[in-house]
Amino acid sequence: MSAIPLTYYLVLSAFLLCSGLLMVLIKKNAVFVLLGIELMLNAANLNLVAFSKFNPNLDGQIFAVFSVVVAAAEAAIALSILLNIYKKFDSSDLDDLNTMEY
Amino acid sequence: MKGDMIHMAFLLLLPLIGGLVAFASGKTKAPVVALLGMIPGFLLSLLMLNSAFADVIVYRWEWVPGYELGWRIDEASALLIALVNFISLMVHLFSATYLKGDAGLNRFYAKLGFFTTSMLCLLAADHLLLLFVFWELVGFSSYLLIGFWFQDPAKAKAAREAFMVNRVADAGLLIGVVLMITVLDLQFLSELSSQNSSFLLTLAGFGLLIGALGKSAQFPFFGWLPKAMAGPTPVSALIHAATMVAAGVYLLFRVQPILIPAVQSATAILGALTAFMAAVAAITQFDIKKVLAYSTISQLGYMVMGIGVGAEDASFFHLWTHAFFKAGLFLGAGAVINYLHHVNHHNHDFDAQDMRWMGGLRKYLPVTFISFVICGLALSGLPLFSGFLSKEGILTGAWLWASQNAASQGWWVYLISDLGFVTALLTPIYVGRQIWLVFFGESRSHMEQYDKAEPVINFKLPLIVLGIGALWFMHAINPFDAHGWHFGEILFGQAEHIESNIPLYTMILSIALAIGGIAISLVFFGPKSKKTESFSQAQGPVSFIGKLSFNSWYVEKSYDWMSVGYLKLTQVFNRIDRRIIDRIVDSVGVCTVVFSKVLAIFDREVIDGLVNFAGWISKTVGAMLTGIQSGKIQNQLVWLLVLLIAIILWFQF
Repeated sequence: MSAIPLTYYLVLSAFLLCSGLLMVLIKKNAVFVLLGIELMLNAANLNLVAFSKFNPNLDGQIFAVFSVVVAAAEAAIALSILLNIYKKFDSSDLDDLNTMEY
Repeated sequence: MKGDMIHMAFLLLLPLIGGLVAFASGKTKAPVVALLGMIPGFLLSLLMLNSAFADVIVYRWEWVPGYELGWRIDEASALLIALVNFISLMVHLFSATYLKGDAGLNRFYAKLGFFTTSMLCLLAADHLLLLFVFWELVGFSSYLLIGFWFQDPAKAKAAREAFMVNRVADAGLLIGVVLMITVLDLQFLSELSSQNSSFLLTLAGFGLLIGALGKSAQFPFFGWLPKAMAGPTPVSALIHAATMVAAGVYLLFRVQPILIPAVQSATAILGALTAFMAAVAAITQFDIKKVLAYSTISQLGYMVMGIGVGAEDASFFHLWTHAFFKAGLFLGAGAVINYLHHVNHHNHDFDAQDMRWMGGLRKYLPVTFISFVICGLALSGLPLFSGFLSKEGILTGAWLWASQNAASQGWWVYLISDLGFVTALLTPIYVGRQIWLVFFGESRSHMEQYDKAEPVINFKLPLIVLGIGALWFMHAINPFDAHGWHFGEILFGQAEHIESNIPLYTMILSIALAIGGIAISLVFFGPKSKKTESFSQAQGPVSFIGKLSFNSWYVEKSYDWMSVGYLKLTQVFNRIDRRIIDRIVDSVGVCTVVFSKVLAIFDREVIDGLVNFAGWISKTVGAMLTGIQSGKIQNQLVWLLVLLIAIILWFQF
């Protein structure tokens, strides 16, 4: 049970974070960018849970649960904003959403 | 007190009112109307004399808040006011006949009244500012009267010259007055007292001295008085012999307490010098009035010298006696001119003032002759006449001063009293010359008996009264006592007794000089001398000294030369200006243009280049940095990430 050392978790978490970051930076569609953000959040959650596993109180796990809830709320709001943007601009492509450009 | 004020106001203003009413009433009534102003004025001045001897009349009022002006009539002022009124009255009388038929007779009386009032106010003024104002008014009315016949350009020019010379000297007076009032805080003539010597006091003293020298026609300003003879002769008698020219002496007499020794010495030197120079000039003149003008300058020189040597009581006395006999002489000359004018009016080349045409007039003008001789002898300083008494006082004072100061100041102080004595010899020479040439010998032009030559009231009365005024008993009981003036004790207190032989020597010497002078004039100009016979053909002196005298030491001419020289100097400077200064200015201008062109190139290429370069840098950097703000969210996120990593790396290492 205790055969899996902490480093493995952390490496997995770093991998998740990097793939999320990559998605955020290179995907054209806003939905995929949101998915990337979810990945990065979950990488952080994984970190919290992993550290909690090696420290016998439950603080980290509770924090992770909070984070999941906040992420769900965030996803709901982000998606609804995205829906409205799509209605207004008739596109969810980030390159088209450039009205703030000078 | 209030009665005194009204009295004073009437006294000062009556001549002016009389003159103005005379002006308005037309030329036929003008003389009578003006006399109606003058006679009460004269009587009032006698009353004033009485009240001023009892108590000095002072009236001060606040002109602007905190600034008082004042009148003050003390014994000396009251005496001179009475004198001015008296002479003015005589002149008013005399002018009525002298100027009969002149188209401007009413104008003449208005000017005469204006002058008299100005002169009276000058004598009554106590504040220096008032004194200055009336000093100027007196000068101005003198200008009006000299230029009475302004249709003649020469006479108008003479009036202007006299006025201008006075103005130059008045600048000195103005400096003195302003210094006295503002800096030295000496505003009232009656409050002057001796001060500690200071630079400003010296300056003020010299300023006042210059003003007095100008008004009293002293060297170097004396040229204007002979020119002022262009005015009518009665005017000369009033203004240029008896009253106005004495104003300078009066001023010096008043400010004498604050004159420091240097100013006093200068006063004495200039006075003595003027007395001598003018006496020399009087000897060769042909014009009957010019002889009198130069003798006036000479006598004023005596008075100024008297002030300078500290014999101001004698100076004041001489001012008093001189007014009578000199006015008498001028009115006598006026009668002569009037007569000659009448009998020769058909001859247009004839000059009624030229002594070359006169001679033998005693037969035709007996009263004038007697009066003229009496006044002339008084002027010569012969005993039993008034001039002897006062001149005696001045000469004694000068000698005493010289003997007291010779040790401290050097031998030259004796030159001053010696010049006084030389002048005392010259005076009877020119007076004698004039009397011989005018009244004795044979007539040198057409003469005839003329019954209106001396009208009783208008000519005879002033001549007789002034002639009597030239006798000793009008002024002192003892004809040999220079300090015996009736008013002397009232004005100056008891004369101190002098333990010295000098007064006796002076008396003997001056009697000898006066008699000797008349003898010399008899030898040279008497009826039998050769000079008199050829006199009508005389063309002016030929010898150097004679020319020097005839042209009054070339003082006026030297002023002309000075101005011509000054003009030449300005022409030279003009040439220098055009040739050198202008060229320098031009080349400086060219240099400036070239330099500015160079500067323009530098400006365009270097300064503008720098500015443009700075602009180009910001433009380029801006263009580079706009790439960051692309508006694409993912680009910005990349930059965010790069920066985050950079910060982390920064903190780790």
